[in-house]
Amino acid sequence: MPAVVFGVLLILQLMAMPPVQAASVGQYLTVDEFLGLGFSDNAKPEPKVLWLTPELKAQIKSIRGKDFPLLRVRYWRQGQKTAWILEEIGKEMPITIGVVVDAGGASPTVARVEILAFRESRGWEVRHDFFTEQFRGAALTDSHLLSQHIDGITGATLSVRAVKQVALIALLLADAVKPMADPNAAE
Amino acid sequence: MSPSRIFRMLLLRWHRRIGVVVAVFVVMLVVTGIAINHSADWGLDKKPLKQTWLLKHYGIPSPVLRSFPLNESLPSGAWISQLGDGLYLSETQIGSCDSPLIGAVVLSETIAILCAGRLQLFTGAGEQLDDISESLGLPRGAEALALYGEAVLLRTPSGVIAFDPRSFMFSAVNVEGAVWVAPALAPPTVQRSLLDQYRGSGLSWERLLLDLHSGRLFGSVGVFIIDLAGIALLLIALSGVWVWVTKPGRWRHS
Repeated sequence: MPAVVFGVLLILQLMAMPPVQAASVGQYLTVDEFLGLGFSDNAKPEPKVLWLTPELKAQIKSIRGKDFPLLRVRYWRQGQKTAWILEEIGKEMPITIGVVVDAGGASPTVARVEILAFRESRGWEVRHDFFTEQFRGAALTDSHLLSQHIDGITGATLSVRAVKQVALIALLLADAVKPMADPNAAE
Repeated sequence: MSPSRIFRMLLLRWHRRIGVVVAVFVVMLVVTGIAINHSADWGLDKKPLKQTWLLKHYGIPSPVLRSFPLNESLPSGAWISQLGDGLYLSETQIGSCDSPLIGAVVLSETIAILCAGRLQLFTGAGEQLDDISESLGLPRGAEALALYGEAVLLRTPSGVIAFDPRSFMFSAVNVEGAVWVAPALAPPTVQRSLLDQYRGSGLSWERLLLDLHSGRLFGSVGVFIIDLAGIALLLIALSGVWVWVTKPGRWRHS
C-alpha cells in the first residue's frame, strides 16, 4: 500500500512539474554557456567591440571570398584570451560559431572552437569534439591559412569550410587586438 | 471540268480561307520575331515588366510592402521598409531580412531594425553595424520595438527587455508608457520606387516576347495553337506554290 501511494504521488509530482523547455532546433550553446566554457569558471570576460579597418575587411574578404557585411565585431576578453562569436553560411543557413583565441604565445592560437547554433539539415557533425578539437593550437600563417591540417568530414564539406573560415577570421581579429591584449597597455 | 482543275479550285478556296485566319498569327509572329531579334539593341532584355496583371499571370504576386517611419534623428522623410527579403532605408537597399519586419527606431544616429528573431543595427547612412540573432543573445520571441530614453525596448512573451547598443546588454525592465512602433504607409514616391526596384529584378519584356512568340504565354494550349498556325502557314505556302504551278497555260510556250 505505501508503495502504491508513493507511486501515485510520484506521478502527480511529475505531472505538476513544468515541462522542460525544449532546446530550439540546432541551438547547442548560449553565449553565456560558450563564454563559461572558453574562460575559467570565475572569469568575467569583458565585452568589447572591434571596429574593422578597410585593411582588416580586405583580409577577411580574402578568407571568405566575399565581403564581410558588418562594420564592427563584438568580442570578449579576459587576460590574453579573446572570444569571438561569428556566423558563417554553411550551405544556405548561417552557422553560429564561437572561437576562443589565446594570444599568450608568440602568435595567437585557437584555444577552443564551439558550435553555438546549426541550422542546416546536413553537416551538423562539425559540432562534435572530434572535429573541433583539431583546431586547438592552430595559428594563422602569413598566407592566411591555419598552421595545422584539419581533417574534413564526408558529407559536411561546406560546414567544415565555414568553421575553418571563422577560425581564420577569429585568429586574424585576435591578432588585430593583440597590442591591446597586454594588460599593462592603456586601452 | 477535269478533276485536277476541281482540286485546284478547292485548294485556292482553302488557301484564301486559311490565309485570313492565319493573318493574325503572321502579324504577331513577325512583330514579336523582329522585336526579339533586336531586343538587346532596343533594351527590351533589361526593361522590366511592371504590369501587375502580367506579373500575376506569371505567378509573381505583388510583394507586401511594410514600412516604418524613422523619428526626427534622421533627415525627414526617412523610412525603413521591407519588400520581399530586402530591407530598405527610404529607397536604398541596406540589407536583408527573411522574416517579417517588426519595427525600426533611431537611437543616437544608429538605426535599430527588428525582424522576427533578428535585431540589426545600422548607421544613419545604412551601413550595417551589428546583426544579433537569437543565437547571439537576442531574447526569444521579440514581437515589438520601442525607443525609451537611451535604450531600445523589446516586448517579449516573458516581459519587456531593454537593449543597450553600447554594451550589447539585454536586461529585463519594468517600464510603463512605452510607445511601440507601428507600421505606416510610406509616401507614394517611396512605394513606387521600391516596387519598381523589386519588379526590376524580375521579368523582362524580352521574356514576354519570347513567350508570346512561342505561345507559352498561354500555356500548353498556346503552344498547340502556334503549332497549328505554323502548319497552316506551311499549307498556305504549299497550296500557293501548287496553284501557281498548275495555273492553266502557265507552262504553255507562246
